[in-house]
Amino acid sequence: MPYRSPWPMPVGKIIITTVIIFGWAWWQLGLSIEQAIPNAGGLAKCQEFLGAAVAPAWTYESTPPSNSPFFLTKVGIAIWQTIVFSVAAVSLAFVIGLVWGITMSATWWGTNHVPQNAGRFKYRRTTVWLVVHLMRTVSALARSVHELLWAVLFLSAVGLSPLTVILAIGIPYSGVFAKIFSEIIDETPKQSADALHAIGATRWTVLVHGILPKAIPDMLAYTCYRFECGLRSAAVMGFFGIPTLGYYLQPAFEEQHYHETWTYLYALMAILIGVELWSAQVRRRLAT
Amino acid sequence: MNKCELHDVSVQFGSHFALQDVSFQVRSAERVAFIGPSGAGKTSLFRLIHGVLSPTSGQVIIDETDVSHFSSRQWRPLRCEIGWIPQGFGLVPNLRVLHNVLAGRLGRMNSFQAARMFLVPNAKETAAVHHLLDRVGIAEKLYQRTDRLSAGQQQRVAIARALYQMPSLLLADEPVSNVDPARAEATLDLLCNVATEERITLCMSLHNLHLAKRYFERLIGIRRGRVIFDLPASDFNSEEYRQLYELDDAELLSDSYGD
Repeated sequence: MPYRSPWPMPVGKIIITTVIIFGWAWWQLGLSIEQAIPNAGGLAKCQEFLGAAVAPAWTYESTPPSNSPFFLTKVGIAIWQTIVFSVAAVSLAFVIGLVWGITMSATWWGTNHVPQNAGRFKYRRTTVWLVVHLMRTVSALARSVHELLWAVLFLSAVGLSPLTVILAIGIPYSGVFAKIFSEIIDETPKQSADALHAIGATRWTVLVHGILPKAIPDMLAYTCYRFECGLRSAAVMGFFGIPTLGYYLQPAFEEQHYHETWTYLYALMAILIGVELWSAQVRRRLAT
Repeated sequence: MNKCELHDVSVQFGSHFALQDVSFQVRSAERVAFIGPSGAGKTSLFRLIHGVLSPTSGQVIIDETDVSHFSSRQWRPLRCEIGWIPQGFGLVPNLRVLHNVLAGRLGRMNSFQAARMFLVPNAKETAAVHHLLDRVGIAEKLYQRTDRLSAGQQQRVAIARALYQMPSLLLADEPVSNVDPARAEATLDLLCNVATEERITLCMSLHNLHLAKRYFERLIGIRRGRVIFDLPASDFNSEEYRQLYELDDAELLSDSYGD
């Protein structure tokens, strides 16, 4: 008897192809292990930086300008600003993504409700196909440009303001929300939707009362995760001059104030862990 | 709605006939059981009667009107009159029982009325739902989350939803196929009593012939998409039973199961 793997797939071919592609990419980049070994000066810097991790700063490392706030106040403001930017950007993206996601779902257009044998829907199907694919293409375009690239685009076009930063994060996030929400809607079991459709509910009522109640917990769980990503993006946007964590992190690092740098890094970690704990609780409560 | 007729109706998926030359007439307030093996076409028949499926040939006539090629928009007012208890109940698992029952009247409402009813059901609506739940025996579950209920209780929610709709025709797809005999009888008692009291026409698909004979005045046997008998329950005998359930190998292994 020939050997048969548990999966009805050409497992051997898949593994061999993966290994070849992997090796090819490394060879293309000319990677060698020396590239990751620092020289003596770099090694000292590394030690200094990593050493500072155990002792994050509680006050300024060098005397600050006379009217500066307390160091920890500054960290607090940075945390607060990071959260505010993330909340603003993600909630904007949530609303746009929800509407967009509904309109690009197969469920909304009813392509999986149409009786299989009904010829008169053929014309409608073509139109729907075009609309849905147009929406999906636009969503893919919005997603394929990273929020940092959007920020660079806005920076050169109109300069950066809180609004443009929120748009820079909000545009790709809307595209992601649209894609994920439409998938969640389409994957939600349809028994209740079919039952409501069968007793005369309109397409909109079927969606709102038969599908969304089941889909919304999943959507919110995903939004929590996106909020976490939003915090990281908002922190990085600080490099462009928005008063979030990155804005303070960058000069601290450049001036080799490593203890301060670690305080900012720990602050970012603390927010992310806080959001993770909170979203885990939200998800648990939504699931039961 | 008073009566529902099918004339030589066929439903075809590709080369496969789900239903073939089916004709019968159901009068107002009649109680009819559709019996036959799995995959015989009972569910397709019900889907035809509320317009979720349209016939490939033949006519579906509701109250003297040919509805065979009605659009979804034309069907809507009719669908509001037709109650539907699907096999899997079709309830929204994470909503309260109250809201699942309220959904029975969604067909008669516009989006705003529907949203209002869901968000702030008024005292009258809540009282009506409570009364119906009392009637099906689960009044105390009014505010429970639906998926916390047992399968038997969920079925009662589905029945309450169908009754809240105030239909003139009620279709029930194998409502007792997954429950024990005592519960099956209780469910059939309930549905038949309600149908008689409210003068609702009741069409139900069933596997259990004894129950069908006991609770229904008329039996329609379906096999391989065809009507093979249409009799008053009192005339039913073992010959018909043999015709209906003596499956050949091809049918037993057929993959048209549950279409």
